[in-house]
Amino acid sequence: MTRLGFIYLVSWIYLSAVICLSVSLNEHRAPGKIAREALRRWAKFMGLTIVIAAVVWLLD
Amino acid sequence: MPTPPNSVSDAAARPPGWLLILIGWFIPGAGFALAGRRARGTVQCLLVFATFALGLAFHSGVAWPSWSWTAPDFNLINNLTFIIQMGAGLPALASLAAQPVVLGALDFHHAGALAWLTGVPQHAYYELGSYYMIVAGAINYFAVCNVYDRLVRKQKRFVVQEDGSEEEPAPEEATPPS
Repeated sequence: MTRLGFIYLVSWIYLSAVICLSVSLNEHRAPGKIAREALRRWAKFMGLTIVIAAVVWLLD
Repeated sequence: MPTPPNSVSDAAARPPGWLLILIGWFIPGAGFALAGRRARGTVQCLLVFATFALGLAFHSGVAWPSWSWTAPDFNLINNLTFIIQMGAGLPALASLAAQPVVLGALDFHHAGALAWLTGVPQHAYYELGSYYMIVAGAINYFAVCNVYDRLVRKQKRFVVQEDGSEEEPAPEEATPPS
């Protein structure tokens, strides 16, 4: 794997986590609920983007 | 039942809403911190500054776009990117102010010391860094909107949270009485 590809993969994980945490932080007040919601959103986000990546890869 | 740490009763002691929004944009997280929500403000601040700093580490920066649609270098995506990046407030303003065009206009003679704020458009990671800065700006826009929703407009669902009754009801409480 090239260095650029590795950085893109790490960025995918970091930026999706940051976005999900930010949205959950804005939605809720209790720390436990914020953490649970952020993890749930992040898992969905990762899953969806993996599906999109697989579709793009198959069609490429 | 313990009193919520920052109940609605402390609203009178808060600075005015417009000031919370303005400060919250300028210094990410400061709107919440000024209203007594230090933990929330600190997390917002760390998220925005860390993401923006990573953008700078990727040799990116906030660049002033061309605003005239007749100009040859006009690109609508650049304009939208700039608007969202500016949501990050102080770090975005610092990066913009360090651009050679601005420093030259100000007759500033130590531009080299601030070169790390401007970015290198030819660098392979410049576009990726710009994306980090877009995310940092968007996060702060969301945070400022949240300051408005929670503390200024007092939207109904947030009032419930601010009263300390956000937690989901226990199953027996959720069942309607027969």
